[in-house]
Amino acid sequence: MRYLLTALLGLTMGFGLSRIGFADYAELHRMFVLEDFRLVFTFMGAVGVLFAGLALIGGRRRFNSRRVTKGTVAGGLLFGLGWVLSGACPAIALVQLGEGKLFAAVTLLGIVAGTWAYPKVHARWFRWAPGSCE
Amino acid sequence: MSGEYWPWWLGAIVLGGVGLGFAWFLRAGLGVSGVYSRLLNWREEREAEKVRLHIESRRVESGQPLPTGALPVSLGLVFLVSLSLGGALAALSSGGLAPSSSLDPAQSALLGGDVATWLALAGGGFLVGFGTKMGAGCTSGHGLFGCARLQPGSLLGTASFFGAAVLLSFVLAGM
Repeated sequence: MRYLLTALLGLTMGFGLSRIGFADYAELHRMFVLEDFRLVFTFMGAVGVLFAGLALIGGRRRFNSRRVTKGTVAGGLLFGLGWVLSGACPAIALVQLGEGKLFAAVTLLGIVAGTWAYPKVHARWFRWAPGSCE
Repeated sequence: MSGEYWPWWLGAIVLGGVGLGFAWFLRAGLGVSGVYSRLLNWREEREAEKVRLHIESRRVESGQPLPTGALPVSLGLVFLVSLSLGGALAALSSGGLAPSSSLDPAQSALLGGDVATWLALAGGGFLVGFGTKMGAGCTSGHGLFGCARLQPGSLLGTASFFGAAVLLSFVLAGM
């Protein structure tokens, strides 16, 4: 049952992200240069829906807290640059691939390589607790 | 172009609904970069899950509520594959699925040609993986699920990645 629900949620999210236009570079660029706020409103609206829904089901505090670490800002900045260059966040690379945009396989490989490389860099040079992505 | 896409409120309901579905049905937080990370460490994760399952069964026996946590590795794989299938379904239902290796013309024009774009896909992808792991969250985990729970790390993380994206986009548009 959990597998079916997970697949349904994944399908809905992938379908939705594609229909919203998050996987379209031109749409993304219009958001980033503040020409068109549709995607920003979509995102803020989704946060609002989730905020209200979690408050209703009492789930806001039950999940792992996400504290500020020394990597929060630096990691966010690197991700932001990568997002503009590749046109994808981790979910979007998969959606693009599904849409038939085969170039996203390169993005996906890059994301996997970066996710694999960070813990090694962290263990070698950084000294703070890395936090979790959950 | 925007006319082809969903209005903001419909997208908001669907994305927010998916996050709620994760919390309600799966007792897991939504966060795609975390799934990538756990899939890469699937051996260690499977061991950790065994411990978690044991704790859960003890809780069920004693009538305590089940804990929430990360999506297990097997479900994570299902989730990533179905995200992609969702994209395929969207393409199929709007004119058909036509796989193509050609680049996005808007991206190519902005980045200054095809070679630069291929490099940007690989290098940008690397930065996305590295940065989300370093910042412990991506658009879904920090931007959506973390911000909706007003988590300090997520609010700062989202401001950072969005700020960097806006800045670089203005720089590229001005070149």
